[in-house]
Amino acid sequence: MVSHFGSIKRILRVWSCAPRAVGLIWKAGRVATLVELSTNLISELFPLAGLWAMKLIVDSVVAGDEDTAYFMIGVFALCAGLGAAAGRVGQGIGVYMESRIPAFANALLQEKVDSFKGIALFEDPRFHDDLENARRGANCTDILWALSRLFVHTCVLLSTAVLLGRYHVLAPVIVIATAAPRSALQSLFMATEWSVLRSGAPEARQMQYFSEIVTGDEHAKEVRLFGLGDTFVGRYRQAFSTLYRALQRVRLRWAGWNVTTAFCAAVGAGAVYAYIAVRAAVGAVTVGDLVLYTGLLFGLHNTLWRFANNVKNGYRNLLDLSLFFDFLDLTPRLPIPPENRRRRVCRPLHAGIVLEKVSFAYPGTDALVLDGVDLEIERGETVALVGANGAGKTTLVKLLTRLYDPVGGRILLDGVDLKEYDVDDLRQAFGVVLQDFVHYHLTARENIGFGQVDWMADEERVLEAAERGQAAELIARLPQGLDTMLGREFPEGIELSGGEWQKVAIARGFMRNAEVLILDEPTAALDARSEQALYEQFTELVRGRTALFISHRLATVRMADRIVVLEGGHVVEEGNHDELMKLGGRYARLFTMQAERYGP
Amino acid sequence: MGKVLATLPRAGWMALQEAPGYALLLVVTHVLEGILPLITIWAGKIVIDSVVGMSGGDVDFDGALRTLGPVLLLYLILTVIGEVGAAFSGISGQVMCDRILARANTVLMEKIAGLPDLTPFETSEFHDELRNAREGIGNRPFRVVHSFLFLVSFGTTCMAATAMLWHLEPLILLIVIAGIVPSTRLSMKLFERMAQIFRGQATDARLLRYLALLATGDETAKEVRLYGLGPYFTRRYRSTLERMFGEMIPHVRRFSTRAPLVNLLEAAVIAVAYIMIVQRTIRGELTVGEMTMYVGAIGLFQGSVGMFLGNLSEGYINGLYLRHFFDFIDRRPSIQMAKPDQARPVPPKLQRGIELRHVSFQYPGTNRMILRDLDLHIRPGETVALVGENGSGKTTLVKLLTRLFDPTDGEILLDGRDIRAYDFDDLRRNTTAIFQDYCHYHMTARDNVALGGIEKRDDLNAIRIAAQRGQAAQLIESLPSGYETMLGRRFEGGVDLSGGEWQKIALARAFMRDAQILILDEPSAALDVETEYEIYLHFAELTRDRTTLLISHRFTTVRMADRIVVLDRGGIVEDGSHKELMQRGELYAEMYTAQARRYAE
Repeated sequence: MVSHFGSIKRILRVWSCAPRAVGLIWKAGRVATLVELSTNLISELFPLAGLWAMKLIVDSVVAGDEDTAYFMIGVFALCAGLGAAAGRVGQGIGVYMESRIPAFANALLQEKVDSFKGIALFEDPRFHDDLENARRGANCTDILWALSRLFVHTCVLLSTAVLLGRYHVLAPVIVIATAAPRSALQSLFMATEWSVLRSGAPEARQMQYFSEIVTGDEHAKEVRLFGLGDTFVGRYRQAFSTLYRALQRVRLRWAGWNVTTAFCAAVGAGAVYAYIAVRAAVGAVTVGDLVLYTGLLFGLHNTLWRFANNVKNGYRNLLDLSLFFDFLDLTPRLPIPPENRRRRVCRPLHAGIVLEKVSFAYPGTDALVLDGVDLEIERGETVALVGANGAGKTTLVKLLTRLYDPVGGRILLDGVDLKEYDVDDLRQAFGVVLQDFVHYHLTARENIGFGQVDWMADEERVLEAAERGQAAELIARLPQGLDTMLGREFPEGIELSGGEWQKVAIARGFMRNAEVLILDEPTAALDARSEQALYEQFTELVRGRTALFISHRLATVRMADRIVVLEGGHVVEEGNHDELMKLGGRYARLFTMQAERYGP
Repeated sequence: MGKVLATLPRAGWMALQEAPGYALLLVVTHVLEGILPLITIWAGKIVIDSVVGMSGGDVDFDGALRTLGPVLLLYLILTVIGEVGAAFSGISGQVMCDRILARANTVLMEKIAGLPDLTPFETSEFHDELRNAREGIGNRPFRVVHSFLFLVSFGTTCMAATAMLWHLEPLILLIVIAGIVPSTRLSMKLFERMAQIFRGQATDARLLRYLALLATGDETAKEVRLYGLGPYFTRRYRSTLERMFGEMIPHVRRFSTRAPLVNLLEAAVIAVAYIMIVQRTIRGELTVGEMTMYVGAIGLFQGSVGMFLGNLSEGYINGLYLRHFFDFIDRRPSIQMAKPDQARPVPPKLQRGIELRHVSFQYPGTNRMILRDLDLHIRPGETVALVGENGSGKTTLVKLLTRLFDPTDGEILLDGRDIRAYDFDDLRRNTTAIFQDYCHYHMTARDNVALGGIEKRDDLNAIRIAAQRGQAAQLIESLPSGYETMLGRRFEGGVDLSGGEWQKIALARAFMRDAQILILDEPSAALDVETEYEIYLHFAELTRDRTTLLISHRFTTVRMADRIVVLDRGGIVEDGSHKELMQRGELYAEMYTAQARRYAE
C-alpha cells in the first residue's frame, strides 16, 4: 500500500509540472502554440458536426427528402474538409515546434549548468544522473504534441459525452465507467515502470558507458590493442538483461489486468450499442439517430482509449520534463556574495596570495588531500610546486581558482578572502593551463582565443598568444592558418599530435592578460626543444605577474623564485633551489635523483 | 528514397530475429487493426438494414433483440477483438522497443569492436557516420518498426476499402482517388523538403550537440569555468539554432497556407462521390445500410491513405537515421586481413625482429606525409627509443606497428614476413602498449589493470604482478577497497585519481599482457620523480626478453635504450646508441646537452 501511495504521490508531483511545461512551450513559440492548439481542436470537433450531418442525410433519405439529403451531403463534405485542413496546418506547426521546444530547453539547461560556478557537483555521480536526466528531459520533442492532444481530447470527450447524453444519460456514463479502469491502469503502470527504470539506473548507466567505450574514439586504440570489444559487449548484454528482466516482470504482472480492463471497456460500449440498435428497431429512435448515436458512442469509446494513451504520453513526457525542471531548480553549492557586495580584483595585485591553514577533502570523501597548508605567494613571485603523484598539487590549483572552496582555512588574495570576490572577475585574473586541458574540435583561432573570448577576433593578439605558447610555427603550417578546423569532429578538421595540442592549450593560457599564471604540468607532452624554448622565455612571460607552476621536471622547477614541496597534504619544504639543495632534504634528494641520470 | 524506405523491412527483419514471438504477435494485431474497421462498418450496415426492414412493422423489444441478436453479438466480438488486440499490441510493442534497441546497440558495438584498425576513425566522415549510426539507434529502430507495422495496418485498411468501393462502382473509386491526389502530392513534397533540409543541416545539428556537450560536459567543466566560456557556447548554440529554424520556417508557412486549400478541394471532389452514393440510395439501388457503409468506407480510405503517407514520411525520417546505422554495419574493414586459413601464427620467439622498409604514411583524407620512406630494423630483444619533435611521426609509427593503420607505402616485416600475412589477433596478443593518451576506465582498479589481459581477469596474482611492474601496486593497495575500489567518479563510490596515478594504472595494464613486443609512448610524462626513478631502476627487468619501442622527451629515459633513433619530419636523421650519438654531436647531442645543462650546477 505504501508503494501505491508513493506511486500516487509521484503521479501527482509529475502532473503538477504541467503548468511549467506549458510555460516552456509558450515561451518557445507563442503564435505557433496557439495555432497548434486551435487547429487541433477544430480538426477533432468538425468530424462531430459531420456526424450530425450524416444523421440528417440518413433520415432524409429514409423519408425521401432529396433536397435536404443533397444539402447535407455538402455540409458533411465541408465538415470533413475543414477538419482535415485544420489538421494539416497543425501538422506543419507540429513538425516545427517539435524541434523548437527542445532547442529552447537545451539552451536553458546550458545556462543553468554554467551558473554552477564551482565544479564540486561534477564530482558527484548523482549529479551526473541528474544532468543526464535533465538532458533527456530537455529533448522533449513530444511534449507539445502530448499536452495539446490531452487538451483536445478532453474537449472532444466532453462534447461527445454531452451529445451522447442527449440520447440517454446512462449511455456516456456506462461507456466512461467501463473504460475508466483501463485509463487508470495506464497511469499506474507508467509509474511502476518508471520506478523499475529508476532502480535500474545503474545498469542503464553502465550500458551507456560500455557502449561509449566501444563506439567512441577515445578508447579505440586500447580496445583494439587489448582485444576488449567482446568483453564490453558482454558486459553491456549482462546489464541489459538485468534491466530487461526487471521490466519484464512488471509488464507481465500488469498484462493480465491490461487485457481484462480492455475487455471490460469493449463490453461496455458493445452493450450500449446493442441497446440503441434494438431501440431503433422498435422505432423509438430514427435510423439517422442510430447512425448518429453509434458514431458518438464509438467516438466516445475511441476518444477514451486515445485519452488513456494521451494520459500515458503526457505522463511520460512530463516525467522527463519534471527531472529537467528539478535540475533547473538546483541551487549552486558554491556560495556567491550578493551582487552589491562582490569585490573586484585590484589590478595590478598589491599583496599576493596567502593560504591560511587550508584543508580540503573532495566531496563525499573524508581523506584530506590538503591538510592545514600555509603558503604565501608574493606579488610577482614565481612559485613551483613539487610533490609525488596525488600529493594535492592540482587540487591546490582548483582551490586557488575557486573551482572548489576549502573545507578548512581560507585563501586570501590581496588580503581578502577569495569568497568575497566576484567569481567571474576573480577567474578573469587567472591564466590557467590545466594538466587535462580540452581539445576543442573547433578552429585554431577559437582554440587559442577561448583564453579570452572578447579578443578572439583580434588576429594579432591570438597570434601573439600562439607565439608565447610555442604554437606559432604549428599554426603557420596549418592549411588555413588560424581558421583551420582542428580535430576530427567536423569536416576538414586536422588532427594534431599530443604535443601539438598541448602547445595550443598553452597558447590559450597566454591569451589573457592575467595577474596570476598557473601552469599545471604544461610541458609533459612537449618535445625537448619546445620545452627549452618555452622556459627560455619563461622569465619574460611571467614578468610582472605572479606565477605558480607544477612540474616533475626539476630543471624547470629550479628556475622558480621559490620551490614548495608538498607531501601528505602538508608543505614539507620551502625555499629557492640553492637553499633546498643546501638543506639536503626531500627536494635535494629528488633533484639529485633526476640530475645524476644526465651524468656521463 | 527507395534506399531509405528499404530500411523499414530490414528493421522489421531485425525485430523478427530478435523476438520472433512478439514480432509475429505485432504483425497479427496490426493486420487485425487494419481490417477490423471495415468488418465493423459492414456489421453496422447489416444492423441498419435490419432496423430499416423492421421499422414500420410492429416489432416489440424482445422480437427486435432476437432478430438483431446474432449481428449484435458479432459486433460485440469485433469490439472485444479490437480492444484486446490493442492491449496485446501495446505490451508487445514495449517489449519489442527494449529488445530491438539493445540489439541494435549490440550489433553496432560488435561492428565497431570488429573493425580491426583505426583508419576509419581518422576521417570526419567516419565520425559523422558513427554518430549518425549511434543516433540512428536512439529509439529509432523501434519507431521504424512501428512505422512499418502501421504501414501494414493502414495498407490493409486501404486495400480493403479499395476493394469495397470497386465492388460498389469503379467510377466512384476513381473519383475518390482523384480527390486525394493533390493533398497526397503536397504531403509528399513537404516531407521531401523537410528530409532535404534535415540532411542539409546534418553538420549544423552536429555542431549543436557538440556545443551542448562542451557547455555541460564534465570533461570540459573546469576550463569552461576558468575561461568563462559558458555564455559563448550558449550564444553560438542559439544563433546556430536560429539559422536552422530560419531555413525551416518558410516551408512550414507555405505548407500551412496551401494545405487547407488543397484539403477543401479534396472535400469538394469527394462530395461528388457522396452525391452519387446518395443518388443511388434514393433511386433504391442501395439500401440505407449500404449507403452508410460506403460513405464510411470512403472516410476510411481517405484516412488510411493519409495515415499511410504520414507513417511513410515518419518512417522515412527515422529510416534516414537508421540507414546510417545499416550503412555502418555493412562497412568493410579498411585494412587487408590475411585469410584465416593462410594467416600465420606469430613465432613464439622472434628471430629477426621487426623491419620497416620504405615505409611512408599519410592519414586518410589528408595530404600531409607523416612518415617518408622510412627504413628501420629493430632486433629481437632490443630496446629502441624514438626521439623527435612534436608532430614528427613517432606515435604514428607506433600505430603502424600495432596495425591500427597499414602503411600507405612500403612494408613492415616481422621475422622477414609482411605483418599483414600474420593472424591479426595473434599479432595483437604478442604486442602490448601504453599510449600517450591512455584511457581512464571508470571501473574497479582490478578491472583497470586486468583489461590489459582480460583472459586473466580472475588471476589476482597476475594482476598484482602487473600492478607492481607498473609501479601501481602501492597506490592500489592504499585505496579504500584495494583492488575492488571503483575508480573515476562516474559511478557511485568511485575514487578519482590524479593524472600521474592514472598513468601508473595504465602502465600496469600494459604489463598485464606477457607480450614479446612492448611499446611505451611517453610512459612517464605525468609520473613524479620517484616513480620515474623506480621505473628507471627496473627498466632492464621490465624489458627483458621483449622487443621494445620507447617514445619519450625525457632523455634520461631515452638513454636507457640500446639504440636511439631520431625522427625529423617523417624520416630518420640519426640512429645509434646514446654514446655514439653523443660523439656525433649533432641533433641528439644538442638536445641532450640542452636538457642536461639545466640540471648542472
